[in-house]
Amino acid sequence: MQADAHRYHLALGVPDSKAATCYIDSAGQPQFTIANQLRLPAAFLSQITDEDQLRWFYRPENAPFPASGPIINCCACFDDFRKALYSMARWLPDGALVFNHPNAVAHAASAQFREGLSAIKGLVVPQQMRLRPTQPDDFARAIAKVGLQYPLQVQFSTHLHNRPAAIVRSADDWAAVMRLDWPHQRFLITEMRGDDLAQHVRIRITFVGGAAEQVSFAYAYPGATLVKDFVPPDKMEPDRFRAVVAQIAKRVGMDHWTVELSFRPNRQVRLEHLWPGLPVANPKDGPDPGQLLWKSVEGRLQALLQAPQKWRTAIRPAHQRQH
Amino acid sequence: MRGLNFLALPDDRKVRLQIGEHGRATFIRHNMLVLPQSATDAIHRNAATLWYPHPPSDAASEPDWIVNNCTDPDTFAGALQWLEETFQAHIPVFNSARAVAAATRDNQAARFGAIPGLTVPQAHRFRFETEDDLRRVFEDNAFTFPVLVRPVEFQAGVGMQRIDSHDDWASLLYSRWYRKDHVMIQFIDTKTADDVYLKVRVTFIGGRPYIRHCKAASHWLVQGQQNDVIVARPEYELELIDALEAHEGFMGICRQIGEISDLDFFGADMGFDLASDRFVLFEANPSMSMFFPERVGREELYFIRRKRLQIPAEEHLNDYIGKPAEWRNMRSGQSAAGSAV
Repeated sequence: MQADAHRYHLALGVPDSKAATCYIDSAGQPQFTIANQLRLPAAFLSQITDEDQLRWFYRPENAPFPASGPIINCCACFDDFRKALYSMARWLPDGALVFNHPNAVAHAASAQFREGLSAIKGLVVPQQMRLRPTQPDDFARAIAKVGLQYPLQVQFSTHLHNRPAAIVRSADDWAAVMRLDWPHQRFLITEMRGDDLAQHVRIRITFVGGAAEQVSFAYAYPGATLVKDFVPPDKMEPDRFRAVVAQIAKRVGMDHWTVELSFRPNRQVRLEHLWPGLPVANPKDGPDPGQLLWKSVEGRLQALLQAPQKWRTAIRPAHQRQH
Repeated sequence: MRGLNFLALPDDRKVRLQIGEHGRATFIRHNMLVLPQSATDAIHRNAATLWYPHPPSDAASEPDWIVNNCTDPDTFAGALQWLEETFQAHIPVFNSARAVAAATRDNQAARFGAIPGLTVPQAHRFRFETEDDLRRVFEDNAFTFPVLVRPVEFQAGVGMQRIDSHDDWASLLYSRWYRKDHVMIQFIDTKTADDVYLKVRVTFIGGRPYIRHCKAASHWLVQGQQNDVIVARPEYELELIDALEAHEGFMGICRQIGEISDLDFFGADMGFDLASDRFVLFEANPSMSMFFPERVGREELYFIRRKRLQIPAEEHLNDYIGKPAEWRNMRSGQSAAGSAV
């Protein structure tokens, strides 16, 4: 398919919650921002000058996309944009060039995908479950049913780049979660081991096409102080580590994504997060590895966006996509 | 004459999105004034628009009049305070900040409770975490079952529940509005001898009442789609309106509500039973939708309703907005304004 490089479309999503934050721009006009959208280079966004280049989802009666021109899926969180991603996948034209295809985003959030990752030698993929509680005992009941072991990391599933909402150390330790605004919110609950709570080194790797940039940093869970002169445990040998990362990358169908791994004392790496795009925290909230990575990958991302023939949907024909 | 059209972001900056007919996402202007297009156009022609918290330009700093679009003191506490403190008292303000602040549900009994023939249910504002908290509010304020409990910030019955006994309190826990401000309201049964619940919405413009619509339902929550009796027999609505307009007691109640309130434009919902001369004020506030866009392709009754229920009120509203000197916040103050729009 011949891409029209000058006529991109952005596929945007209204979150399932419909929630947004508003502000007044410099011209005095009200605007809104949506969390967990794909971050795009300013140089690329300057090409999007026509309102018609923006397509919003979810709309059951949405008009199909134009038949030509590359499409950027801007929904960078499966949990936040389930309906939008589903709707988008339904309306995408056959053979369209789609950056971060919605099916690939959905696949990377699936239990099937995590199961596949757990087969990678040297990679620990912790047990995890999603939950939308309506009663206080929904947490403990669901955890018992699934068989997760304490301690547990509890996160709002749409705020994954932030710190965990709470660490629950035992069945009697849900008080911190109960203090959250929890009813009807979506949570991601992840099994931990006792030594997972100790300070450790994390590495965050952002993929743009086949290329990767990484940054490592010391990490401590809330309640533990980050020790400045922390001596990390022995790292996994570089070759083994690269092999693990390559195995992960082989299973991801997105064009631009980020994985965060932690080094464990037993020379294993643990999967912490995997996101579409690159999550970048607000600088006002303090230093963030995403900010460093963005500086490294922005130019490369711009180049990839300008070359739709290198996107996954161009490399792998539709009938070969198994997301 | 140059005016200021005052709008604001919610204090918490949180909004909900919708995808409009044009296919674009926009945020819903929750708890903001809903005016007919003719009035909106006239205001835009003659006023600069200011979105709080954007600082006003020099041109907007001394307006001759202000139209305040913020209708809820909880959603817009910061904006209303700023509006009140920033502009001098002699400037006419359509729906002044002070009048909006006084229009809360828990303040209605104090404002309208003395009107003869009108029952204004007791209401108490509170926040809760447990069933004990709810029970305490109920007992400390001498409520009797049933009561209605609803989050303060929403209209159209959103989140409202009827509680018939102590066994029902648990149904209020862990809702989407858990730990947010609620109001407990004494439920007063307005069921007629025909087992129908009737509700009337009255629009007030400069204190003058206009009946906007009636609804009739077999369920106590006469709201939106819960209008089965009139859906089954649409002409019943105009029969009810005829009867209400001819009811001297009801029209007297409306005139007194309009006189007491300092709002220029607001609506009031009342339950009623004409056979027993019973009128119960559900709520009175400026957040209600009282005008609707003109639609084509409707049946004849739609145009009859529009001609009778919407056009006279709309014409009066447009005329009233054009006379800031007559706005309610000028009643006890000095008038400095002439024609506005």
